[in-house]
Amino acid sequence: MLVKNGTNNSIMQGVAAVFLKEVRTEWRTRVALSGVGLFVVGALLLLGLGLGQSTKLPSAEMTGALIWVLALFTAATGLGRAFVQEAERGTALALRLHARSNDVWLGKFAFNALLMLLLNSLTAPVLFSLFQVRGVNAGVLICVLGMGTLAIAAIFTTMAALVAQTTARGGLLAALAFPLLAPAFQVGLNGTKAALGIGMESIQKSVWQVVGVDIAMLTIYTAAAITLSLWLFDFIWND
Amino acid sequence: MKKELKIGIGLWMLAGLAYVFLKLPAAKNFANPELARIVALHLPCAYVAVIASWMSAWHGWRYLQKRELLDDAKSASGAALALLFCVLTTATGSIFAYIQWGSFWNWDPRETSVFMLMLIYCSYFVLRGSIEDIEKRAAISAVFGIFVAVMTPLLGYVIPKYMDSLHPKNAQFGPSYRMAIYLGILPPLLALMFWIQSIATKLDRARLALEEVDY
Repeated sequence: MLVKNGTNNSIMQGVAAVFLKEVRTEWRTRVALSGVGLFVVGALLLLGLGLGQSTKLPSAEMTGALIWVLALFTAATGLGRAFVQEAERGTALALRLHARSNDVWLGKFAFNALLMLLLNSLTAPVLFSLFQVRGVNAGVLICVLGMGTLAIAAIFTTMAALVAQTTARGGLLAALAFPLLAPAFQVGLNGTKAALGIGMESIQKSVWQVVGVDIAMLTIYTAAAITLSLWLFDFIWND
Repeated sequence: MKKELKIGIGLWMLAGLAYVFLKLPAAKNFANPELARIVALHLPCAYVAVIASWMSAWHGWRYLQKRELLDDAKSASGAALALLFCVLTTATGSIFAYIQWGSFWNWDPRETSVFMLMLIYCSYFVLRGSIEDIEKRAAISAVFGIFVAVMTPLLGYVIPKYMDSLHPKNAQFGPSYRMAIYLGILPPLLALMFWIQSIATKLDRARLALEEVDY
């Protein structure tokens, strides 16, 4: 099923093959989806219990920050699995033989990005309704959060590949990825604030003009992370 | 390293420090002009930290090309130096922040970015510690080191620049400050960094030779 090494198949085919393999193995057990999904639901429950019951609900700004914090923690729980699993099942060698390393990275990245997009599109509306945040510019938020999610998926995919080689595995993932993602987090928060209309009253520009810079920065960040990963992944994967 | 060179670095450092402490005029635009002189020490530390991180990445890249463990050792000591100078940058920066804005920590984007770099290099050493196989450890930490060093300008410069920053702009300092920073402190500090690196390399070479004897 997978593309053989050295044949002239296009990159798209190779990536698609790895991506479909990820989806298929995931669908067999559904461990990632149900495990991470339950983590998200549990986290939302705890947030609701802890913050949603007091007389003073968290502000819109705080809710925006919580979405990003939750997104990062979800990634730390769920995305480490991608390469650890291959190492544990002993399937890494087979994958190494049958697919080019960049196809492997892109396929895993696509799967991780999809998983994160799915989960984040669940958490954001739930948190907004939980803390009664009104007046969200959905289009802007989707763009900012979507781009941020791609950045998170890119960094976590590479860091997961690094961590799979260590003895610590899961424990290290967040320690490696969080500081690297901090600037994306800052930029994402900036954009989210604008999407929630915070600080927009005094500005004459439209929301998109304000958010444009943030989205551009996130795009540069994500593009840099993807380029670097594709360049360096071969050294992690084939070593 | 030659003895004359060592003495030269020492004298240059001494002259630079003497200039900063005795001759450098107080920075007029700041809350406490006398104490704002610490900038002349803070900025070179930040530059040296970034250069050390690039040096570490460069040796990491050499390791990936040639697979010689000495390159990995150089890369690791470069990372340790980057960490050291990140700590110095953060410390001098927070002292400046305290006299200027009244708080050691202001969540300024560039303040945070140096702290982040510090955290990243801490995790670099945790990563190293968690891999037992020597060659695998070398390759993995080289990849992480390169990843970090290439992302650093983006983390530390591009993104914090466009966000609202409390950080003083270069224009707020006179030419005497530029002279103190780029001529007085930065060159000997950089030389000091490479000096420490060369001592570490000597130690690592000896250590690697000893390990070979053991086999």
